[in-house]
Amino acid sequence: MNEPTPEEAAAALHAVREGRELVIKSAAGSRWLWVVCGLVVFLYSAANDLFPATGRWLTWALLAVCLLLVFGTRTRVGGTLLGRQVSVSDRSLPLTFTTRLLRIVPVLGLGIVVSLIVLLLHLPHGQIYYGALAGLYIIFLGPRFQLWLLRRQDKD
Amino acid sequence: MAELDQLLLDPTRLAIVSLLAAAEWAEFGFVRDSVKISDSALSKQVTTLSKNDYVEVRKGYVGKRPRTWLNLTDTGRNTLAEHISALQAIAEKARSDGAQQTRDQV
Repeated sequence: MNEPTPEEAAAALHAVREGRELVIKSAAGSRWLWVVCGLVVFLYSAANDLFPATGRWLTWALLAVCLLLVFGTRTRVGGTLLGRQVSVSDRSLPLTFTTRLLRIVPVLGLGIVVSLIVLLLHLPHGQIYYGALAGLYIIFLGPRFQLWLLRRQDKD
Repeated sequence: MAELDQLLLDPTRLAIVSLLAAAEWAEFGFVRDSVKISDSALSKQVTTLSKNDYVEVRKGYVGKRPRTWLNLTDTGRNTLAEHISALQAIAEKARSDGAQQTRDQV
């Protein structure tokens, strides 16, 4: 077997990193998916706050949207229908408690902070504020957070 | 010590496998455009890789259009991991040899 020279080995390692980065970046490419998720969260929270009687119906509608998103992001056919050519693998992310916690901590933290502010200041329509903030977080910071989490794979 | 894989010494094959390692699955067109090779060249490489159980090929239809999806098998993932370790060892050895030479000259 011809052993590669150090230069060839370095070039090959660079190519490996480039391939990974290309796939990870493609995940952030479908930005509209984040916009849809953010809008769904906001609309669900606002509708729940303004029309509490329709809560059960809204939850079913949210569940249907979630199922559609899972189908679109987790299956090949669904991904292709949504125009996604690749699905990023997160299988090398360690399934530790910290990693699992990292995924939900921003939205959970936002919920706690908004609840505290609403309680302390006696603000009406707390769910709308939460929906708006969570929606904005998902739309603008969601893709960045996902990129950061996926890039951690190399470091862990 | 990790061993180099003969099949992955080819830069095009390594590029394909590296791309697929980061993906759960990828469409044929995505891999072709990313690696910047023709349909037939990619087909040839994919055939070689799937014969060695590195890559799994799935064909299907979305609407009326035929699609081909590729994904890396566990064998492919393990082989790539070992190949990367071997490459890192070569690069690391060259670095430490270089540092040693510099120290000797001083």
